[in-house]
Amino acid sequence: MTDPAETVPWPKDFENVVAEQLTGFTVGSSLAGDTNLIDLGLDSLRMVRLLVAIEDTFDITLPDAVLSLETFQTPTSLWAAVSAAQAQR
Amino acid sequence: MIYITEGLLCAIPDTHSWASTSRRDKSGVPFTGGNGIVVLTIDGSRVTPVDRAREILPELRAHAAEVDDSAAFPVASLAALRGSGLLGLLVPHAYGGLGGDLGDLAAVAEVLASACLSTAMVWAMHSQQVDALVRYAAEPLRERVLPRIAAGEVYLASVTTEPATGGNVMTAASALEQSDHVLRLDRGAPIVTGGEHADGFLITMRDSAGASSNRVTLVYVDRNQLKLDSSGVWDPLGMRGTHSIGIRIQGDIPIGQIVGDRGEFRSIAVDSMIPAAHIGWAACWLGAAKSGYADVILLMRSKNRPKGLDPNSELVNERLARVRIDLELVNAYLRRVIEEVQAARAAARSLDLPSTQIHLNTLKVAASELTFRAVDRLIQLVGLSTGYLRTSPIPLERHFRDLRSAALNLANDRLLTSVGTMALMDKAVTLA
Repeated sequence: MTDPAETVPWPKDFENVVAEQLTGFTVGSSLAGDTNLIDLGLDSLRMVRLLVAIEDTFDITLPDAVLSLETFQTPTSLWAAVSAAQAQR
Repeated sequence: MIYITEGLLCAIPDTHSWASTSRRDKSGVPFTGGNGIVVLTIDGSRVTPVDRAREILPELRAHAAEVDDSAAFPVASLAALRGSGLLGLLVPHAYGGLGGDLGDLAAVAEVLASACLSTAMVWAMHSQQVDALVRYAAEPLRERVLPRIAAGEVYLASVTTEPATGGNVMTAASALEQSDHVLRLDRGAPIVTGGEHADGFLITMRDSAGASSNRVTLVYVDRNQLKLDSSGVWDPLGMRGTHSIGIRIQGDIPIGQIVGDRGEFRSIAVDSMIPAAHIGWAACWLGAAKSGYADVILLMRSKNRPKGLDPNSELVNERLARVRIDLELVNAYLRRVIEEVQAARAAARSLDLPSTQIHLNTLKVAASELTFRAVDRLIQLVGLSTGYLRTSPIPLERHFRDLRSAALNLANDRLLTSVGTMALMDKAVTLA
């Protein structure tokens, strides 16, 4: 999945809420920044559930303009949207 | 998923939309069809797709009871469809088809279902496969297959579910095996409508052994490219003519028979197969329920009406009104969703929007529930001898058994989950 030495910019909470919606994610492994979330089973319904969980966890609202397939493609793209929303707060 | 020209001179586009179906223009000619395909025959008369459907209704009607009784595939009715040109309704003129759109699909489905809902569903499911081929198949596959569909030679069946993935058509377990330019298929399919009679198949497969289960690839396969082993017995409550059986499919096909981009079946499903399916099914169910209603109205207007069907009874009036209102609502919502899909298609916009997905799923759920309720209420209205007996001159009990499947054929439970989840994405609450 990922090199354990790789450092990621997001907190563990982020990884937990993302992993919870992935049918193809093995518990105990960690997410690489470029992991394709769609390939791990993130379908459109799970995207909505992930969106709600992220907004709850980080107390943000993601603007409609970023709610696209591209945003949810990888942990990196999704975290970029979360960070931008946090900066707006 | 359960279920699935003669002497013509020229085609005249006309500007009337499907909304004008059954109205008449100043010359008294009925309008039918989404883009108003009206074809001039050699003798100068105008033939619409709905006219073609009406022409074969006696054939469908003649076999409907027997098909229901024996749970056999409606071979004779399909033969009539082959000869009518309607297998090619959605095939563009350039490939010899009628060049119809989803409005035409609905108009024809509704008419066919008035005689035999099983045959209408078989045709509607074929047409949803045609829509996918027309929109996503590349040359030379288009040139090879579309003219044969238009000529009535190819009836298409759909293989999009698997024992391992259940009703979720967006995932696939069995993988394509590729060597050079040949793809090998080997998969089971739990329930394939018309699988024993189809001339061609659209089949979903996981793109490769190394791909994730949601990288789904669609392929077209001729029947003679496949080894098919069917299994199971088809003896359901209703929709008995759809003869849906389990099959095991094995075969080798050239790589050129991939439809759309590899691994990207989702976009075909979202922009073609699902909208065509929900619109086609809703129109079929509406057609059957409306025909039951029309039969009851005719009975009430005749001297032979049962005593209980007193036109002066307020109870009878109210029951008749309730059914009419259900049919009105399904009809209006169906037309509205067709307009939304047609507008998106005309503007080359994807249908992958939360609000549009909600509307398409609402159509399926509402049409399945309201048309079944309508027939249930008709049976209550006309009573046991006319409504419940298989020997009744009005086939309400067949409609009832057939329409009971509507909420199960692509389970409403799954669609309601989707509607309720997608609703969270549509903060503006964009109603159809």
